[in-house]
Amino acid sequence: MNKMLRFKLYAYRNRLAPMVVLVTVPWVAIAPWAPGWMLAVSLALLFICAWLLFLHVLPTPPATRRATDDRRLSDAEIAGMRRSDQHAQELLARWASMTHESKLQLDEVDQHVTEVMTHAESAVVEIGKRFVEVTRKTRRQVELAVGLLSRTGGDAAEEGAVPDSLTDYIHASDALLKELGGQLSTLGEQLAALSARQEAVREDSKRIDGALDQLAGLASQIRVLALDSSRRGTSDNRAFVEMTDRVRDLSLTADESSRAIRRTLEDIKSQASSTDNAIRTLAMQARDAGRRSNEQVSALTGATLNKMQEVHGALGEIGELGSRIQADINQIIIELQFQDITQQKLQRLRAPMLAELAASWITMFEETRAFNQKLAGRAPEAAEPPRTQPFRVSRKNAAEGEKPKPAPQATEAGERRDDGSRVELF
Amino acid sequence: MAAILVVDDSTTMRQMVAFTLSSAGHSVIEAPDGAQALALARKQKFDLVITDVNMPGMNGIDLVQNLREVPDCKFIPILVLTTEAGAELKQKGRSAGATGWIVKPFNPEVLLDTLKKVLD
Repeated sequence: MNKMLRFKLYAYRNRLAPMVVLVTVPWVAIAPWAPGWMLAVSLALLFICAWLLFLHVLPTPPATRRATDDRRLSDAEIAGMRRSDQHAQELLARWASMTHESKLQLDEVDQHVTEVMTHAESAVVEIGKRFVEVTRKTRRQVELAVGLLSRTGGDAAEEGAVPDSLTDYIHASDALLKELGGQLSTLGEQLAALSARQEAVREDSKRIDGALDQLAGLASQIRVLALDSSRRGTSDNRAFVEMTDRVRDLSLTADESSRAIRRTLEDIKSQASSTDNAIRTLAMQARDAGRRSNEQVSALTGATLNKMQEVHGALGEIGELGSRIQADINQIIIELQFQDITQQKLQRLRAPMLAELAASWITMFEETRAFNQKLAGRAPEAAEPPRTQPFRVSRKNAAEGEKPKPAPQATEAGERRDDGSRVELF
Repeated sequence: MAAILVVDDSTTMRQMVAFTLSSAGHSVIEAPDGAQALALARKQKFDLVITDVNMPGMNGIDLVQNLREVPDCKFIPILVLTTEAGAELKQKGRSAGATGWIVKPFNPEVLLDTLKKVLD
């Protein structure tokens, strides 16, 4: 302030006296008629007003020379230096403005990059978690599948081993059926033996029929002999003896036939008894086998059903895990989309902003170089405006289409994730 | 199963969409920009087109408009899949002939449900 006042006094040094005279003329003009106190007050006010006028109304003239200027320099040199100084001041102001704008832009870029990094980090963490989940569920699926295979693919060949797998139970059912088949086969053989015995009984019956026919024949012959004897009477002793011999022979034959029939009947009785025993035994064996088979089949069926339920449960769990894995994969797809969207937005932001910054810095560089050349004395009197166009540092001046779009707002990870697409059908 | 044309300048996004659609049994053809999509649409017939909006060269809205002039694409559903959710842009898409508007990121299940709706 003091320096400025001194400069102003110096600049108006030649006009101060006329100005004082000019200002005091009205006071001098009214002095003869005004009272003394008024003249004193008005004189004081006059000086105060003049001082204020000098300080605040009179413009500071462009300084060709100042009190502090080196007197050995010419006015032209001083003026050139003044212009250079003014240019330097403007340049520095531009530098400051541009630096400020650049800082704002860089802050914005930094904010976007930070957001992108946050998004990327969050997405990577989320994807990692999902992959871990998918891996865990897949492993569980594999375990279930292996368990299922062990349930359905056990080794039934081990002797005396307790069946555990579905295959074991199927093998056991197969063995049981084979055993049942074997027993039925044995039963068939035994029935065939019984049939043979029945055949033998039929043969014996035929023999009995023969013997009975023979006996009937003998009875017929005896009746004939009885008729002959009654006809012949007692006339012929010789014939009677012959007839008696014949009757004796017939009696012997009949006796023989009776014994044969008795033997046959004994045989038949024995065979019938044996057959009856065999049938009873077979029936018992068949009943026992049937009961055992029934029990075993019931047990095997129950165990097989249990195993089937276990297999069904395991398959259900595998299916459910598959659904969860699908959901995780869907989430991974969403996270990858977040990544991609963020990357695209950053790319759209980067190109125009960095281009603007580069252009601004290049402009400043050109201006600085030109100014430097002037200072170096190559064109000391040029003092021409900068050759380059005024630089712009604000993205507001950028073309509408090139405007970078803001990156998605970074919020809490939980809030940020919009898992459902917003769909609108026209 | 439908033949679907997916148009997006982002390879990742195209792959995500293609993965989702092909997993559901659809046949997917990809195009990185509107010009290629238009050329493909003139060469072969598609049951549905899914396009992004912000693409180099021809944008999605223009692509929809141009596709509607292709005889085979006159009546097929065209879905716009984009990050943009502004009402004005949606109205532009609708006026251009888009069938639906899906905002990214899309949920695969929702995308498939939407496809089913528009294809039925």
